[in-house]
Amino acid sequence: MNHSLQDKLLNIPLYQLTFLTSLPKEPVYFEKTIDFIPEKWLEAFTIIILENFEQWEKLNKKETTLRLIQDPKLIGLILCEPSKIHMQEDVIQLFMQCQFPIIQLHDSALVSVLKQKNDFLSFSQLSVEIQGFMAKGSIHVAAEMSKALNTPFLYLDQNEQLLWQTGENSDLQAANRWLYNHYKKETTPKKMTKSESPFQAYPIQISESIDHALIASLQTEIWQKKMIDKFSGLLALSLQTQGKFQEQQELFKEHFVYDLLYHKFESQKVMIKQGKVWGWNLEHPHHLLVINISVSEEMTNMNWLDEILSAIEAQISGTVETLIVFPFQDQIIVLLEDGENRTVNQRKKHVAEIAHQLIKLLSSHFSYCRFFIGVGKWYQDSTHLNKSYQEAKMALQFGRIWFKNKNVCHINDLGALRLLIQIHQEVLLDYSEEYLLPLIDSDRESGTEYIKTLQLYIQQKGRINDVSEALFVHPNTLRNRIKKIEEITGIDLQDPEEFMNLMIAVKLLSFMKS
Amino acid sequence: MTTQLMFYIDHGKCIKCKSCEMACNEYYNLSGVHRRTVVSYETDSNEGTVHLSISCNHCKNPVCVMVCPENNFQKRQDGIVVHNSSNCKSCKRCIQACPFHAPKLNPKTNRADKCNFCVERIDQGLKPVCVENCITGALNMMKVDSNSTDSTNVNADIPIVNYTKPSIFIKRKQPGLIFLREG
Repeated sequence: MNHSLQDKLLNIPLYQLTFLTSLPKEPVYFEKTIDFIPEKWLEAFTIIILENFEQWEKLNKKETTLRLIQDPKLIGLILCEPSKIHMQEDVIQLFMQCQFPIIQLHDSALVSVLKQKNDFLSFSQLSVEIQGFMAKGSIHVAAEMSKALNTPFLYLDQNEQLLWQTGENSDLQAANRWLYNHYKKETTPKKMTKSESPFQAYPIQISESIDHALIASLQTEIWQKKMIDKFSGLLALSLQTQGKFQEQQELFKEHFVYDLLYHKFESQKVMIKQGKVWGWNLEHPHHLLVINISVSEEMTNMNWLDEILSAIEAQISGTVETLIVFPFQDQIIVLLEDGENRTVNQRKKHVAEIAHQLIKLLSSHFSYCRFFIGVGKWYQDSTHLNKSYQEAKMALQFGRIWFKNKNVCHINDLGALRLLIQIHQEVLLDYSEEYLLPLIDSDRESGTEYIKTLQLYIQQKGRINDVSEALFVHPNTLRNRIKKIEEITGIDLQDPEEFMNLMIAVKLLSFMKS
Repeated sequence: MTTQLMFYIDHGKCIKCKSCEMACNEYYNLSGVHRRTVVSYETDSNEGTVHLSISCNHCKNPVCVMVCPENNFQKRQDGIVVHNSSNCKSCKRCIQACPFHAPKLNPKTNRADKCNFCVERIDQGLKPVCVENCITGALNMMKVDSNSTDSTNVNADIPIVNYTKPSIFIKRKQPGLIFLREG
């Protein structure tokens, strides 16, 4: 029986092979295999397959090495060992100089492939091969292939940008020169396969729109072409698989984010475990912030959410605070880790500081957008983030209506008005109308703007000059108007108790009519 | 993309037969409480009297989620807000807070009870029982991208409705058109 060693290697998964020396360019044929180091000259073309550590340890003896190299019937050495083999450098050099193939086979079960009479390429093994290929890493496999085939490998993306390269330095320099002088100047890929060209490009199609390329030395032997073809095929498949996996991960992330914000996870453990998939540490409690963005017309043509996210991510990478940032339904959600032992006020102050920093950062980058942040309550238990999310949205919604000059609103800032959602709406409306109905009627019938005046009077904390400026009226006109309001409602605005009742009525009205 | 299942109500087709109400009560064996109610009201516009079959609107910002101290309300991936009554302490906060009066106290269980969009039927690929039993087709369901629920057509003057963003689509009555049932 005559078998080519190189052809046999084509039937072994690439990730299972480590080449201690390069393979001869011309195919080498063997008739039999033995599993020991012979004491005398071989009679037939043979491959030695050593599965025993003690056996291949003998190779480190120089006299054994020299005898093996001089034996014309010895074709190659296969060492079966799952972990890294340590051989003396001078011994390896000697084998290399004589172009004697030494190959490490990581799985000894694959020895049977070398002993088979007929070559059989099993496609059912493809899934195993892909798995091993991805686990080992395409660049590691490429490095081994480079050693075996004496070729550099350069990997280019669809824009002909070099993503990675492996091989001898001198070969890589030559390949890069060729790449620069010839490949990138070529307009059609056909020209690259010219026989006089020292390198060849192998297409790696990842998707319909993404075509990468693998550059290698021009190979003349069929087995070499087959081996590179196998490698480039596996490379394309592994990248396609990774692409699909990433797509799945994105989808999974989208679902997880939805669950995080709308569900109460029954098990905190499950939530933490799922969060870890994306490096989110949900073991500690978090504040939840919702960033609302009013987009200017200048940004309507761009993917503004991604732009803003990138800006935040770039900025937070160097900060001490642990932030988790992700988009959700045209808003940006920020989870701020806060496991410190703080009082309620300290906690609120801390999150407000971070929120203001975020607003400052975003406003400086995107001056043509308006940002508003709503902050929910802090819960010790992370599974309550869904409640915090609803609170943050409520703070955002109502804060924007009432606190026109502020751009951060904590749910606690709504004060007693948070009770708004706990009490029957009709009762609240009745309450506010009890105080304000005459003013509402007057506004409707005569355009007196009493309600608006009261709103600003409360917002500006009774500062006549500020209120008159905001209303574009003279301070005396305002004083007169307030006097009228007091007359109509029968409320003395200087009486704290009466003022508080009126203030609540005005706030309720503005929220409920919003 | 996350989806939102929502009820589609056609004012022009509702004849106030209350089949939806009864079907729901029968299916869930409810007594003394209605998950779905048909209300009638006069409109200011030329629509005249309209009938509205209403239950939980499975809001985008469900207030019930926020007020429940036991965190018993959850919004599923398909947008349906479900209530886990097994942990309900009957505090009635959700009942008071919901602007649509969707959660009600079930006198049998003495716990909050609300429309769950017949999730068990939805999971089997069926329509909610109220939709299934609407003889005129006034009540139906639709599936939309959850980001687009802001554009829902709610005409009712309900406080904080802008905040909760109910997932409901109401088709107004078209004057001059009279619904005649086929068949």
